[in-house]
Amino acid sequence: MTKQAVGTNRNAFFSLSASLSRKCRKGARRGVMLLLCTLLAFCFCACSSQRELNTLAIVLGIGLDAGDQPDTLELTAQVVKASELGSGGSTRRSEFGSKAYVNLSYTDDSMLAAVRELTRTQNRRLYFSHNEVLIFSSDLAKKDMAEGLDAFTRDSETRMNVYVLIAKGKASEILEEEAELEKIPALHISGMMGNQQVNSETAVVTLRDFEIATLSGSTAPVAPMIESFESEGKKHVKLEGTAVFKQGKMIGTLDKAQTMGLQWVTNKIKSGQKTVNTPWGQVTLEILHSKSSLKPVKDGDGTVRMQLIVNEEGAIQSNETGKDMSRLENVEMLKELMKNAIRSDIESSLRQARALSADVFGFGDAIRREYPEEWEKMKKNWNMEFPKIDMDIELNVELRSTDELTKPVVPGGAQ
Amino acid sequence: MHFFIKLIRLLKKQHQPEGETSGNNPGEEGSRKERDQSLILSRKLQDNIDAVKAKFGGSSDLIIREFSFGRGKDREIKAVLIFLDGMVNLSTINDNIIEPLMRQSWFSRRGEASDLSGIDEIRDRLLTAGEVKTVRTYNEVAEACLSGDAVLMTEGFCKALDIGAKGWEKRAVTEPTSETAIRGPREGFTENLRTNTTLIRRKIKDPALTIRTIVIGKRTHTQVNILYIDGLANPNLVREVERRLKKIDTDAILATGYLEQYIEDSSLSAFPTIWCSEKPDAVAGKLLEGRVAIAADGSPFVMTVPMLFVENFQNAEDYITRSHYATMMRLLRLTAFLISLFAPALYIALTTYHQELIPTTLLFTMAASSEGVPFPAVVEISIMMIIFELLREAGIRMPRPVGQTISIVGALVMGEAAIQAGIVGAPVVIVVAITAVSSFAIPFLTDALSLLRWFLLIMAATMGSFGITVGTFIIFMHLASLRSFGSRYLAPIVPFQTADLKDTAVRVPLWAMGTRPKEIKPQDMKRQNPPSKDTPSVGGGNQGENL
Repeated sequence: MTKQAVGTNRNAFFSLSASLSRKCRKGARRGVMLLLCTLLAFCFCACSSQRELNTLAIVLGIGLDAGDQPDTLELTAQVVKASELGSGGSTRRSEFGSKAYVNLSYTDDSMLAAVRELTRTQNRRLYFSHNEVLIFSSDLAKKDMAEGLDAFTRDSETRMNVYVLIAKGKASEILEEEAELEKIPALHISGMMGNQQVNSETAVVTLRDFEIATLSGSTAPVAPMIESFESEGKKHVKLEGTAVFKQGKMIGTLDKAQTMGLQWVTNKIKSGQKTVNTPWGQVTLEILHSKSSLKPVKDGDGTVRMQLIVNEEGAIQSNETGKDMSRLENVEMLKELMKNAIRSDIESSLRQARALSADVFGFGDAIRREYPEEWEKMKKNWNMEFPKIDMDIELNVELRSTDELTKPVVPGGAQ
Repeated sequence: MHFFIKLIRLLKKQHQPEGETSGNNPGEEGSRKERDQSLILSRKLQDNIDAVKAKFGGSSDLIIREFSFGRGKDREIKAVLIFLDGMVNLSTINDNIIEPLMRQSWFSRRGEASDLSGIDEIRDRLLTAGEVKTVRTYNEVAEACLSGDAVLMTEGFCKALDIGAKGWEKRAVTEPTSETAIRGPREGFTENLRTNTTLIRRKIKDPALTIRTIVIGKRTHTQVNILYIDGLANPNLVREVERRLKKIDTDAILATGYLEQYIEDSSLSAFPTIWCSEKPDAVAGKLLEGRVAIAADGSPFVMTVPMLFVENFQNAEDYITRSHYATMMRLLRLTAFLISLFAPALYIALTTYHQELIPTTLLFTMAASSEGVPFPAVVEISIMMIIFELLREAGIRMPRPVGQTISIVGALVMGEAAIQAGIVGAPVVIVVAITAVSSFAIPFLTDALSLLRWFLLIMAATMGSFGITVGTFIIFMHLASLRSFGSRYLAPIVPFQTADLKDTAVRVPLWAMGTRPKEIKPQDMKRQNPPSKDTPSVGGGNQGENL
């Protein structure tokens, strides 16, 4: 194919026949060279990483618990049973109700040892590229997370965009939940995480975010907490609060309001709602847009303080009062109430962070960027310095609309 | 590896003797001519009849009609009319040859008239046929008969008359089967060379449209016509086409496809470097761009050279529909090309090497369908591709009613049974089906694609996406090195010719196509004046179609 092609060039038009045999020889040499190059390419890779789909155990979720023996950990890998799940081959689908996943557990000294051990009990190789969630039990998290984090960051097959969660009980139990709308618990949890921005009450943290915070040295990483509960004889899970870490160990938690306060400071609020109490009853305000900026400023005496500006725009989502909330004085009142609500969240989270002496907001990083010299002095003793740092909070709240109603549906309200 | 070297050596050997024989050819031809000269017609009619009979080996379709004409018994002249049954129009024979000779008796005293004036007088005064020539040798007589003429020989003259009476069964001009038109002209070429050239001439009513004839094939004596527009086509190109055609030394040319293999630049390439069409309007468009057309007797396909890669994606209909739509179709065909070339290879690369690139839920579906399938993915897809090629081939070769049965069986085998039986997975069937449909969107490249697809598939199966990259590089290097009669195959993309992008992935309105393609090097680049600003549509349309 190539031989002939190379043999003909631009001048072929005028002098083809004269040099036919010479070109043939030249073309042949080129053809052989090209063939050699192609064969050389095989040396680089050729089939080495080839694997068929039906030899893989696709892992969707990992749970890490502390093992029974000291210094061991228990790895639970949630592997999908594709034949139970896929739409392909409808005739082969087994009876309704069987699980579409299997949880494989093994306890060993280290992560990788456990993974290797699993191959002695399973015929398929664990495949981590599609892993969605990484759940540490809080017991393990309080002891040591370093090993799990290291293994999952170092390996080329695992991804950095997996969600990191902390289980209140055992991680393996979380992976056994019986979700109603999803066949695989890990997918259910990752789906939930993807949806958390609608309420902004959970810190959504991927392995990458977690590592960035860890590697900064001053910032305390956080991760959402998940707990298992039973209702009507079925196991369910829910996201509840946030775990705070320091030096690779879990040292405390933030509750729902504190988590939201944390997100106001770190500019993570995308949407959500706040219910405020007016003299006539409750009004729920929706957060439409929010933007916050955190900046350190230096006082006259050289002490550094933080300045937080939050710009929030919202709308009325529901009104139980029966009063016309589109009236200007009511709007002003709602704005004031909203400010107070936000302020109380932020202050609550600040109090908790100070109590834990954990810089969950990233003050340290902000100071390092703005005042590197001061930071050099502060960083040695950051644990002591952090609780002393003051924060000014400036809130600009706007109420943009009352949505599609101006007056309440029931005039006078439900008394 | 070894095999390839051997193959190349073999090819070289084949080239060598070819050169030698072509070198000897002129001398051989010369001697043959001398021999022909010795076979001049005899004065004796009976000798001539015997010689012609012997030449045709007593074929039963050779009709020898003996008769005499002239007034009076002593003034009678014996004559004979020789023709091949079925090749001539019998009414011409009867009304224009035999009738005038026998009815309006020509009188001349034998011996008085010289050879020349005698036979010429028949020609000039008696025969009412349109096309009459004088021939002198047996070979010329045989040739005349074979091309459908009647030959009149008379006693006492060593010359004969070749009277044009061609008339054989011809297929009518019908709608082409390989290229259908929606808005364009519907007539298609036939197997008759003269009909084909006439169809083109009727599109281009310009005396500059030149037709040159070359007869190729030692046994078939196939008439091959070279068509070009004088003053438009590059004379070098015309010379080159003629030179390559004249070099052909074979016994049979049965269709233009035969010629193609003898004259194309790289006959080992998977890509066609000679364009062909069944539609006179498409060929006329190519001629008007400065290309040269080659038509052969007996083939309803006319070829044009040089061919560029973009022509694979062009269609005569593109120039008739609105330009936006034509542009969309061009992009669609380009997409079809890419899908058809890469889909199976990408599928294999993704499922056996790069599972991390497949969206999670899609991976489940694919994994589910590969559950319980006994073969590796590459074997699976190979099975389906072979089945598809089989169905295609069987569907084409079988008579139409049987062809339908095949497609039903095929649909069932491919669509349902194979999946249900668990021999292949559903995604494989989808991939092969998409590939097949895409390759049909670009009929010109269907052959090339079905070969290159396997090449890329093997590369992908052994080296994953790296293999696809290497394979694509090789294909593109090859494409860039291809030439078609001096034109670079990838032009106007490589080398980049801005002006000619007007007819590649986009097809601008006709009035905006001011120049002819540069790569073809026409003598006259300008096609039309740029349109005036107030009435843009007036500028276009009057230059006829272009392709």
